[in-house]
Amino acid sequence: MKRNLNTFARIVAAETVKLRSTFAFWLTLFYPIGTVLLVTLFWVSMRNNKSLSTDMFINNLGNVASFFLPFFIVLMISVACNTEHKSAMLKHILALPVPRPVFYLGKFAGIMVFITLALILTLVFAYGSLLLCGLLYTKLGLGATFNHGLLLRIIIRAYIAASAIYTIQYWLGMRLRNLTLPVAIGSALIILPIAILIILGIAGLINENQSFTKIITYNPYSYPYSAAFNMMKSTEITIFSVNTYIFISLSLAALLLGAWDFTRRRVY
Amino acid sequence: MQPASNNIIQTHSLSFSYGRLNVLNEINLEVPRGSIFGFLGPNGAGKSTTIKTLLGLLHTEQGMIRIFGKELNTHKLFILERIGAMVESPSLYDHLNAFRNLEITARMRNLPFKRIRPLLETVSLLQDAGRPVKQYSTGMKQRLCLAIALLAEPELLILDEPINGLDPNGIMEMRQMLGRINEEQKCTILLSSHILSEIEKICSDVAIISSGTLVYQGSMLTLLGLATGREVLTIHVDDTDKAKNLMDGRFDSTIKDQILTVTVKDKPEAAYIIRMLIENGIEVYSAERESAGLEASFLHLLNSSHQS
Repeated sequence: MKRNLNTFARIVAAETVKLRSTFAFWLTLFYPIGTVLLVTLFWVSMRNNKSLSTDMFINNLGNVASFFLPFFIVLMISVACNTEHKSAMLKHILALPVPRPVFYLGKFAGIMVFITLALILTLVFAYGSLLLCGLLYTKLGLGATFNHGLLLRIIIRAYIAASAIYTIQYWLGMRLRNLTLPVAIGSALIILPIAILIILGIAGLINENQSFTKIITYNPYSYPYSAAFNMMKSTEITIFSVNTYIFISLSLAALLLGAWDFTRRRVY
Repeated sequence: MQPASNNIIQTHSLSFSYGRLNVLNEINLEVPRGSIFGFLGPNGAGKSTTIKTLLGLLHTEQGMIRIFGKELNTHKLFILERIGAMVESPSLYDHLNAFRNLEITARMRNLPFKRIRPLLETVSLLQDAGRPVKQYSTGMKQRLCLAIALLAEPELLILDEPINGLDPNGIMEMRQMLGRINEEQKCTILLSSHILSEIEKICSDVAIISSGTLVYQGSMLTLLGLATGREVLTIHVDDTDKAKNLMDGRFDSTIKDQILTVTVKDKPEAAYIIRMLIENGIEVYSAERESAGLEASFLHLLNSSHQS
């Protein structure tokens, strides 16, 4: 057990070396920068609004981050997995004295380091942006009433809501050798609820949104939206709710199934 | 308790199939400790599949693999800890430099980083260690893969087609390097290839596989002895297919790059073959006779196995 933990830690460290200077690494920077920039532009454009409050900035940040988060995860994880397929590296790695499930879980943890970094950077850039805005227009700054707890909860909740996407996309990425297919599958699942919403709107059935609710309830790739837009009937913004346990349970199930699948896989 | 064996690798009735396609058929491979063992065979004969089963990349369906006297299925990690391997095309992270590629393997195998620099020196890559691998030539990539395989100071080195894609200079460097590793580090080397001239120069022992069946296994000297007194006739003709059809069943022959190669016993047999080709309406542009080496033995064994 101790030996496996040691190997796990070494694989996580190796993964961080591997992903440096790949597109996956740049995505980890672009996603928080892009998200905060969009919200900041909107925030600045609202400067003359009389009912302006920093909660508005936080809620917007939560919504924008939740909207782009699935796209970021799908791309980031697919690219990170593709580094192994691109040069047939799996053959080399699996000929090393490393147990397959430990490698599978270690690589996943390594990718999660970068995703966590994106979360931290989103928070850092959000504070940075408010500080900068505060220098230009005092009322756009942090202020004494700034709700730090709400900002934390709203961002962490979005990342937790996406937990099933991490593991399902990782499984797809490790299973499928080319980059296009996992990205296409992931993107299709993200776009699905938006497409259905548009179709319902065109058909004039937007008020009868039961089918839409069903789609986002059963499609794990919609969970960040549903968490952000409160579609799953939660009344207040908390990190841990019944839905959180659903997200995490599904995520763990996909991770374990993926590890089992990887262990028995033939490497041609 | 198992009796101590001089064989570092031993397989017993090793079989493997891709679906219904039988790729390995009851292979009994024995690689002597300390040897440089050549694993020969034409493309698609089952060399890479055998190597992948030895490394546990493909799970064996039938038969047994024993490495360092232990069964692969039950002692996989123990065995892999003592092996350095290079499987098929160079597997490297193209966006990273040589040092980082070695660092990743060192991290995963829990090896000290201080081994990296001397190894880069050994494979003559120290000067280029800071450049991304995507800028490397094939020869440099092969050398880096060899360095990665050597990082753990393995007792057994398994190299699948290590001289593929190398220029003559690169082939010579690789041959010298492998010879040095075998001698200085007492490392057993199993290398697969279809470049017979190189195998002949470097290997002490050899096995030949054809269509998933082992057709020869033993020392290189014994194998060369099979061809003693035989010669190779290289003929440039206008219709190689027709010429090959004429040879089939009568002489050991192959076609490569529109050149027909036939193994012959003596001068009269060579003259007979040329005459036969001309009498059958085939234009003979040139013919050259050379004393046979590994190539003749290889062709002889392959043709014998096809006929049986």
